Amino acid sequence: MILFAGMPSLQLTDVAKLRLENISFFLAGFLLSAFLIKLLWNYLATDWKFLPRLTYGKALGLVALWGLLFVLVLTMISGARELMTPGAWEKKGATYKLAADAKSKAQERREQLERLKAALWQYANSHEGRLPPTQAEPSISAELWMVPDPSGMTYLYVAGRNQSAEPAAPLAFEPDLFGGERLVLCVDGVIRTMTSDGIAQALAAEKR
Amino acid sequence: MRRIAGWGIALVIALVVIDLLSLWPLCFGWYRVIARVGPEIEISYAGVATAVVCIGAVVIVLHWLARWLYGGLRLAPTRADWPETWRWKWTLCLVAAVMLMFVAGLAGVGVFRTTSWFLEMPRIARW
Repeated sequence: MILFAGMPSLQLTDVAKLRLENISFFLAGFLLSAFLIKLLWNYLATDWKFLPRLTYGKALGLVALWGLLFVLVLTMISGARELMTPGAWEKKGATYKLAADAKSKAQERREQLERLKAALWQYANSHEGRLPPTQAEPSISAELWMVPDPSGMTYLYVAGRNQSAEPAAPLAFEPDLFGGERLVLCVDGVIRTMTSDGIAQALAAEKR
Repeated sequence: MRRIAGWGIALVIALVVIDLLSLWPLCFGWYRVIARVGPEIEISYAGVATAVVCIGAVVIVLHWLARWLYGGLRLAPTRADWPETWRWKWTLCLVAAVMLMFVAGLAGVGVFRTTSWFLEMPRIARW
């Protein structure tokens, strides 16, 4: 959305949009469940006179309470899990992940970007150092553009570069999916770790 | 007429707020999630068959138990106005409710987890 005449404009990042879509999905399930619970309850209430009529608002409350109970039970389970395997879990944001998983995930991210780099360099070698003009280039498999994450997002690609460009210029980098630090494949073939601000500054510096 | 106008104004205000805050993905993103994930779903026919058999067994056993219990409870003089026997539709409603509450619980946990992931994102929006 773009507002003109100096009005503020807000654009969600791609990852934020994806996350909001996921929230929307579960929210839709939540609202639909409440509606179906209301229907069932009131259907039974026609025979069971002791049951009061359930309004949609109360059904929402009931489902919310039930959902919180689920969260409570899962929290207790994860607490027990932490007690039984001390040190095996690492805090990541508001949640915990298996430490071994976190390490292998970092390795997987780097390996996937290495595979993409190999394909890009192979393309450049056969095109006088020019890198693919778009991500839709058919000689590079679409799977290589996929970030190793269930979100299904692809790497962000700075199209139109060639290998003689500024060596440290970002060429392909991860979307803002894995916390503060993102892997960036630069024109010189080195995979660097950069923050979102660092990437934005590097890209902005080129435009100037 | 005034009521319709009131709803119309509320709708317009809601749409403006949704647009200003870029909340379209929150309102209609569920459709995109289904479109994205749907084609990747693989149906396990063995799993479906197991579920059907288990649900069938639960319905039959629950109905049998409930009919026995209900028959005993109904003997009290104050409950003479109760229907004579436990009905199949009650059993089916109870089983459906249990399954639905499971879905509702998962949805609640899903909202909680995805919201926490959203809030811990380092960058949500560009201004």
